[in-house]
Amino acid sequence: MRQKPLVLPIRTALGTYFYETNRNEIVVVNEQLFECIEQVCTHDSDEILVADEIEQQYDELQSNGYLSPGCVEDILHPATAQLANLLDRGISMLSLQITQQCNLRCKYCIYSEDKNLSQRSHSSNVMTLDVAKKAILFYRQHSIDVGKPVICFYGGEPLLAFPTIVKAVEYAEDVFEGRDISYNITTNGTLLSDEIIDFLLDHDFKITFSLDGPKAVHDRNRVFQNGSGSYDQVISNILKIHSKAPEAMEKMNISMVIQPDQDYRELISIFNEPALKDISVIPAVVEENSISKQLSSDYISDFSYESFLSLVEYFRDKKICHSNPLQTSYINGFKQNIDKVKPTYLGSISAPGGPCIPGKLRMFIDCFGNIFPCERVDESADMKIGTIEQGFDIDRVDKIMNVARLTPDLCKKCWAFPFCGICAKASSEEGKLSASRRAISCKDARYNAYSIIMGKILIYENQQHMRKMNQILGGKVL
Amino acid sequence: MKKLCIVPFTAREIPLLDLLKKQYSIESLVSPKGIGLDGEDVSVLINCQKIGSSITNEVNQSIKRCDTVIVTEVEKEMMSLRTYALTALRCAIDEGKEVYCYLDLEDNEKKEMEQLCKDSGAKLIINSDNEIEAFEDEENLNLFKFETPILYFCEEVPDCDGYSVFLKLTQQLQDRGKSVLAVSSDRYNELIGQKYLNFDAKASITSQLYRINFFVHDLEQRNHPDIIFIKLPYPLMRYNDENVFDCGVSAFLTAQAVPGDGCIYCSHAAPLTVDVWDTYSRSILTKFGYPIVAVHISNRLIDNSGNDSLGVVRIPQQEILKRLDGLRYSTTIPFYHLLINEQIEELGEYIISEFLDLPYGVIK
Repeated sequence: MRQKPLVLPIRTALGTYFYETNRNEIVVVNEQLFECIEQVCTHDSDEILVADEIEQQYDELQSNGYLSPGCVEDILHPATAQLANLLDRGISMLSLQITQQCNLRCKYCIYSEDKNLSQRSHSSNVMTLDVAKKAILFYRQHSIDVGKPVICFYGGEPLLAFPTIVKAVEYAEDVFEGRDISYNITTNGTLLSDEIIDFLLDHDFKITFSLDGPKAVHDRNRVFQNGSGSYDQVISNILKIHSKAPEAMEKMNISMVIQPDQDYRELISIFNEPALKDISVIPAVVEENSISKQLSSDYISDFSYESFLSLVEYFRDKKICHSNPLQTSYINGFKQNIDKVKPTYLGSISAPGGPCIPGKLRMFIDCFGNIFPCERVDESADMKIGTIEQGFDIDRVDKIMNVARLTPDLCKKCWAFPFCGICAKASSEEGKLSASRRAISCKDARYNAYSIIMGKILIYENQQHMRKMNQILGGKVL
Repeated sequence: MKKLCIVPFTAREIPLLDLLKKQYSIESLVSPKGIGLDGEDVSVLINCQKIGSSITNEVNQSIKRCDTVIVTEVEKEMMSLRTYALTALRCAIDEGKEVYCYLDLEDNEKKEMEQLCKDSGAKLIINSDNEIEAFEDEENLNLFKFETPILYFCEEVPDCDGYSVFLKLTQQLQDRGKSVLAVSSDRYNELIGQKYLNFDAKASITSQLYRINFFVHDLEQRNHPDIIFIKLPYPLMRYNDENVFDCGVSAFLTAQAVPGDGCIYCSHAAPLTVDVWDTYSRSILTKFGYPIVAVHISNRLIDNSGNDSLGVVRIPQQEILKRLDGLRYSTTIPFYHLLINEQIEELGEYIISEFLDLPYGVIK
């Protein structure tokens, strides 16, 4: 009796395939073999009748290590054994919550009192210079083996604490003397005075602005405490930077939060602004209880059509449509994703693809000197992984990193195991790690994994198509 | 002995310390704060047992107190460190010191320093990468054969203590009365009595082949060493798609020019699986013509969790030693951690018995 393999059979208009989870590979198969595999996956194999030839092909694949059942016996992140050492000398970036204050009251903000109840709310707490210095020194001590240290300023609205930022940078330059340290800041863009802009440019800051779209779109949600929109101020400040140092725009990003009922055409009209036509965009859909809302079918339709044109451009290496930064972001994401499908073998001890090493990539330190895995998690006691005074709580880091151990049986049987993007944030409910919450996130994770695999198949099918066209046209490609 | 100051001192200069101590009294090892803090033992840079030399952040006073200054090699991309090094260089010249400069200087910087030297009377020796002339005598191309045993030193990925191991083993054999010809592309070699060869010549591959062969043969004939050590400039093979180095081209070319008898393979802190190393040695023997004689396991752990696919974290040396305990002789290839004196002595004895003091041999 055949064991059910841990694979995902996939049929497209142009071919039949299966994705082999244990090997992170996509295999092209003929129609009959595909039907056999589908049946083995869904029925008891005793009930399946196939031709001898197909059975032979199936056996051949199996003997070459394919169509195997799930091989993961224990879930453990590969970095677990070296966790203490990695955190001791390898912290890549420091993210400083320089203030919890904000001059805006964005309607979807996770720090609103009525939004995510497990998350802190807006407050007047600020990071003292003493805490900032200790945090920077802590980072220096724990990043000895990192070639290019990075310090990111976060809030609230970090520019409300600009004097502290200036002194923190001055301190960092001293403590990191001889190393090429760089700085990032995430800002709502409303407080960029000439003095601040000059400082940020002089220190080569990479600035992420929050800009949700043209005025009507942006001002729906990104409002001052008195309810008035912030667009005019933000765009004016961006244009100021552009006029002072247009080359600096290459290092700028826009963080764009998209509403579910957003009109795509209206949204991208913001990129008609010359200063923004080539800017990098980090798009995100507004969340409720840490779950992204579903975009409208109109948005999806319009976005998908343009994505299709962008992909045609990418495949044909020809200019077809007027692309915009949202599409550039999509294509960059597409390219990164298809690189994830490459031969890697799951061992008997493995962990789903999602969790980073908490605190290692983006060590987030709040106003009080508490350490969290990153700026996205709830600032709750359960998510805290240490303090700058006492160092890392390795057991807690281990628990958060191995969050998949909350749902081992679910994960071990999941075809999307290598691509799973569910980290501690997506497994958190009311500030605590939760198996049920993690299970809810599965659907999105599998959808994303499916998109990655389909992207790789698309590349393959395009190559096949181009080969045939070249044969027909004698080398002249349309 | 002259008093020596090394600035900026980084992990790259640690292998030089033992050898420089024979020629100089080491006054100061100066690092910027971002590299090492005042008073810290230099071992903190590579997370190993204490070496007994401390870092200082005080540049000016350190330079004033010494007779000779070594301004170290800094990669061009490391702009802050390079600026720091340039400042130290100017200070050393202003103070009229004897300065060995391993920093790559732009033409205008060279001119500036030379002018400063004229004003201060400082002695400046600039050691930059020498352009290798093409081997032009193509009518008399001749591949010389070698009489001396030849051992290669290779790294799996850069910065696996290859230079340290190369120098330590050279010193070990010299201490035992053996004459060693040690050749590598490390620019500090001439400073510490070893030979420098730039493997990246701007010449055809064939020309390079004959050039390397001639260079090493010429040294062999003049020095009559008991053994030749050659440290390769790049890893033997590509590590992955993002890190191809030179795909082993220089290693293959050099192996054709100077056939080796074995290699000391410096690895990152990889899991020690018996199957891996035996298979790997056979693969290297097939490709390069020499087997792995010994493996050095460094404390360099590859960390690709960040933005750098070949990022490094140095794990404590003690952990490597514990891991090696009991595993060292589990395959035909012995494992070592060759920054430990006892282990380098052991390997030194092994090399002498296997390659030098042989009870019998065939005349070729």
